[in-house]
Amino acid sequence: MERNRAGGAGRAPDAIPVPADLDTLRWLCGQFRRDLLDLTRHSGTGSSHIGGELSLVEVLAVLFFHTLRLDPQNPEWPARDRFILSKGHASAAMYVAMAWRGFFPRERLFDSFNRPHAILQEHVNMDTPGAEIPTGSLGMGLSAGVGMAWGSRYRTRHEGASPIGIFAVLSDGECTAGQTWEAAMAAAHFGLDNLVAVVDDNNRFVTGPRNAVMNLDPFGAKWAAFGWHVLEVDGHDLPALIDVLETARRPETAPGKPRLVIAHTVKGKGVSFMEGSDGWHAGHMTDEQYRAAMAEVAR
Amino acid sequence: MSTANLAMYGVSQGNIRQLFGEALVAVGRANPNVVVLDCQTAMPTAASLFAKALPERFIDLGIAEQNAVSFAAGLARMGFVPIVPLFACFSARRALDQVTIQVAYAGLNVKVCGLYAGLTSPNTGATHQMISDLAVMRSIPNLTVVEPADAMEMAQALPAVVAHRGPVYFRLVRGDIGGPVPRVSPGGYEFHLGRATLLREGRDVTLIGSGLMVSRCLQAAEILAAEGVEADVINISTIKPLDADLIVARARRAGAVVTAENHTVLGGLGGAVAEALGDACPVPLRRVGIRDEFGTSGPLEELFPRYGLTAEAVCEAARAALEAKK
Repeated sequence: MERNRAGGAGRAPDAIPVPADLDTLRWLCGQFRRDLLDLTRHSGTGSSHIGGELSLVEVLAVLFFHTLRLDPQNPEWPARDRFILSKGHASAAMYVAMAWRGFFPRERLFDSFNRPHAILQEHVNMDTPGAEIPTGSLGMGLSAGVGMAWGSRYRTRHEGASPIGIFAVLSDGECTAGQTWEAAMAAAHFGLDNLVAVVDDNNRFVTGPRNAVMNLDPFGAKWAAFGWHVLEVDGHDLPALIDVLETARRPETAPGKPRLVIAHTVKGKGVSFMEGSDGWHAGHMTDEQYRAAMAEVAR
Repeated sequence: MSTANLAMYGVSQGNIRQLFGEALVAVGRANPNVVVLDCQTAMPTAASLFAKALPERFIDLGIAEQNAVSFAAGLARMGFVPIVPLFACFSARRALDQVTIQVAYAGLNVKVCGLYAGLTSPNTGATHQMISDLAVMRSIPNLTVVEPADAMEMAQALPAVVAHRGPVYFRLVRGDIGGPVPRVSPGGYEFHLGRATLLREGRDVTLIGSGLMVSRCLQAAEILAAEGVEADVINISTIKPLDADLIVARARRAGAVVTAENHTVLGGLGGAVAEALGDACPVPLRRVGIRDEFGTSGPLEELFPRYGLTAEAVCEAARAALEAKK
């Protein structure tokens, strides 16, 4: 079996300066996509949720290499920003970003995913250094983020702690879950402007186009009606993502309101036969598909 | 009940509902990281006392138990010790996915409470009578399950589970109806997480109760004594981890066992004891509890005999177990 693990011109992951410049971010996105295909190929089950991972690559590259204040050497650093992947099935995308950021050796991507008791499970859980909360039963991540945002604000107000940002990435699909809206209501009620939710709006649920499965529109207006400050962005446009996430985290952007960033993305982005296809929510690649996908992302 | 004993734990004399609220305030005053989350049941749970005493650490989330439990998990990740005193039907059923994944699987320091447990939500009927929470909660890895039997034990158990680092399910009856919860703990009693208490020693049969059924077991032991049958009575206040050592030791000695719980006979205390005995000491066992059926609305004094949660039901089970031992 082929396996491209060149690791990008011999750069050690932890040597990448943060915040990364645009060229580095572009280069990283290519590394992420290639590693995602390899991870999937070498996962214990031969699979991952590849479609919704590829759609997230630019969002996670900007979060982990530009927006989030993290210390990979000290994943429990109390003053860190909190990152929650509420769409926990896309864990591999987060693992790839974390490996490149230096949370654990990049080798783990290829020897630990979906292996019994290894640190990288198909759904996010506490065994991964730097993971904040288990997710994957959809709709739970934002609630945990609301709790963290409330807790962080309490620490700031009553104990003088420095403010931090709480970032949660949701799928469009999990916005059909009731708990997502319980969380949305609570975040606005408590005025948590330290909370940023990013919806990976790849416009596909498992079985088809999002609005054909369950109409979410008017999507941004729903969140706005719940009291959120809504921003929209092309989720594959790196400079736009940098701007929108910096805007979202600034308190003065919309005092007292939690922020929602709708990132318009393409499920399976970067692999033409996966883009917008319903077959790649979770999938196994044949040898041929793997080679074809690799040829596209390693271009 | 001794006022002095309760005062030691920061609570006064009164019904167990009031005492639970006072115990919440006491642990909140003792630990600045304690936060209480509510879903519109603060009056019946008496979490309202905490809301009044420590309003900046009281969070009302409306009728959103799933959000509340996940929110609590997020707070635990920020170093808080969240206590979530909900009705058992909502914490152990509505929010079960969240308790399982974001509290127990995550190993987070959240104290999920199930109040009005078993039949002690009498007027509300089957929708609110949580009769399977012990079975569900004790089958979840990582989760400690506690059900105190009286006010004195509750007042010690709450600080103990708050001091214990890890996820806990804390079960409690509705305590302001059907008369006060009788005291079963002896003078000088000290609660220890994971340790059962032998309240009475006998040689013929071992009665093992949890929660409100402990007092029924003590009454049953009196009735049985008049018949010439000497019964052990054990209070299992920690359902998980189960004090199997004490259970097996007493079962070996007596050779017959009865369990009694305010819960279905499937999978709860009776199930836990059956598993422990099956592993180490198979002896005749009879289980007292609700017989695989839903509850109904009605006054407690009618519900208890209807569903067999009485001292007489424990006596009958003991006689049957003794017969089987012959």
